Amino acid sequence: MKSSLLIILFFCLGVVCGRGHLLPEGFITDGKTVYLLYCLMGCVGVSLGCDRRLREILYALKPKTLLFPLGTTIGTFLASALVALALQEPLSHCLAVGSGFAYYSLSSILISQQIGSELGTVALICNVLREILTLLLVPAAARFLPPPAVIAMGGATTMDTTLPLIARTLGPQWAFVSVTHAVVLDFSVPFWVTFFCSL
Amino acid sequence: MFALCFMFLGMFAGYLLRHSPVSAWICRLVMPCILALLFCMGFLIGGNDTIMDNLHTLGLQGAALACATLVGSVIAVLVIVRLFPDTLKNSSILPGQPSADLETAAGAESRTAERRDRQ
Repeated sequence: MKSSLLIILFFCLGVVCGRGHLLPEGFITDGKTVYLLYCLMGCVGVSLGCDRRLREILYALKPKTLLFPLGTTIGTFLASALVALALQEPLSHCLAVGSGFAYYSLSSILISQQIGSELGTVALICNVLREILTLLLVPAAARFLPPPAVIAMGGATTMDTTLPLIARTLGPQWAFVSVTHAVVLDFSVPFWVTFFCSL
Repeated sequence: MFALCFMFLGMFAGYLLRHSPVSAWICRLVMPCILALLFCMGFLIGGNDTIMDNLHTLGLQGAALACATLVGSVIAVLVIVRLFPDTLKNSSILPGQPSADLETAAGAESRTAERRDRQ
């Protein structure tokens, strides 16, 4: 939770600096930030590659556990398509935003780089809100939804930000499913976002 | 697409360096990179009058997508649970001998500190 607040704080600081022209012209440009993005992607890759627990999860995975992230993915895409239809927005844009699965930092950065800051802003707002809504609604939702549906709400956040709440609300026996659900979605975010941005 | 290549290269390097202290050092760079990029993104957005003037519209679009995707995910998983009711039984989805860490919320708390770096 602290890191989420820190990320939002830095974003807001950036907005204030940009709005107030507090930095020299040309100090930060789209062209320069792309190198930071490559650095981030490399570091994310290293953190995935050296993580022993991810390999433990993959080795211990039962095929039926994959049904939940599959459901989250399909439900997210269908909902994004409906919103695209309702708001008369390009389908690929809405799908790119939706395929962040609440992983707001990486998805908004990728979308900003590949499509533009406007859609990157929408992605940031959408995925931050999805995380916040999950944190707010999990206790109430757990009363009348089965545990996998509650986990689906959180998207890729169910292995970190929303995991403690999910484990407390649904019981520790659902922690493994929650983590696995998020790990699969986490891996898929860069692929789906890049794919839909290229359409 | 080029960014994905960096991720794959990183995964390969991470696997090779998994026993080296260098990988832990590199993993610590994730959060500073994210903070720097979000600052830059905020800076570019703040300096973009078109975005700032239309923030209410963009906010509504974001909110609509957030609500819709959340509900859509729930409905889709409800359908899956209906089609495969045995997924509600832990035995069909949990590994045979799950790690004790994964079974306790207390264990989950200690993992969140590391996972947060990737957010």
